[in-house]
Amino acid sequence: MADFLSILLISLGLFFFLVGAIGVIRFPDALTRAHGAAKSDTLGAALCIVGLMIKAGFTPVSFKLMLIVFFLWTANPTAAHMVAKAITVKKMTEER
Amino acid sequence: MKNIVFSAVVLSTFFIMLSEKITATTIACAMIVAVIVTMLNKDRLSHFNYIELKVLHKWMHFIMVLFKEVVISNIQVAIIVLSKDMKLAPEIVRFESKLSSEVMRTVLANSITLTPGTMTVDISDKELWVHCLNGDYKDGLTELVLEDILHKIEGDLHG
Repeated sequence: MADFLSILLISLGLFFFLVGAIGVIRFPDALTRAHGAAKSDTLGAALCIVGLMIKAGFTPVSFKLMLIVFFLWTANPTAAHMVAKAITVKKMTEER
Repeated sequence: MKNIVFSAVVLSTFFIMLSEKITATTIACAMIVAVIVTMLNKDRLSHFNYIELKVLHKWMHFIMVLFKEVVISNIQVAIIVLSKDMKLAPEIVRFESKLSSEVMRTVLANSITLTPGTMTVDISDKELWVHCLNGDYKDGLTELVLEDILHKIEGDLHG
């Protein structure tokens, strides 16, 4: 049962990663691409890691995995914000 | 002083958790490293003022709402990406925040990026420039639950 649940969660997470990758290809311009890359990674990684946590059980390992989710969820939007800022700065300098 | 102790305790617990065993050596190492790191980051310790027992339940509420928003936003991005004709009308809108402290505005900017269809591009003082995938998401920004929670936390802390 636990195996089934963790496989299900990891597959769902991988689905969101796939959507993110397709999004990076399909979106028309750089700013919208950043959207695709920033959004789907958060839930994809969280689902994969929760799946691994179920597999690891109640051990220090699952605590460490939980910390990875926390750091990803703070680092991911920050990185997306920096990418977006770089794109807009570049656009502004090109227009001038 | 309170912040220094709090930071040292948090960091040393973190160290011990990562090392997975509680022996005299790990505890000594953890304390030494925690104190050194705390001393090196003395001027950043004011961030701990936002974590207090009386606002802890509000932070929990914030995390719950954020989690819900992340799930919704991922499903929406998936729908847009996998739809045949992507209905996109990207625009950058200005969003005025009512939060007064910089830390809270940073948290807000990060959570706006995680909420559906929006991404923070730039912050200058109280103004946030938000990139929306679609005109519809612009309206969602004005009734942002996350900002209300942060505003309440700020009000509780500073009266």
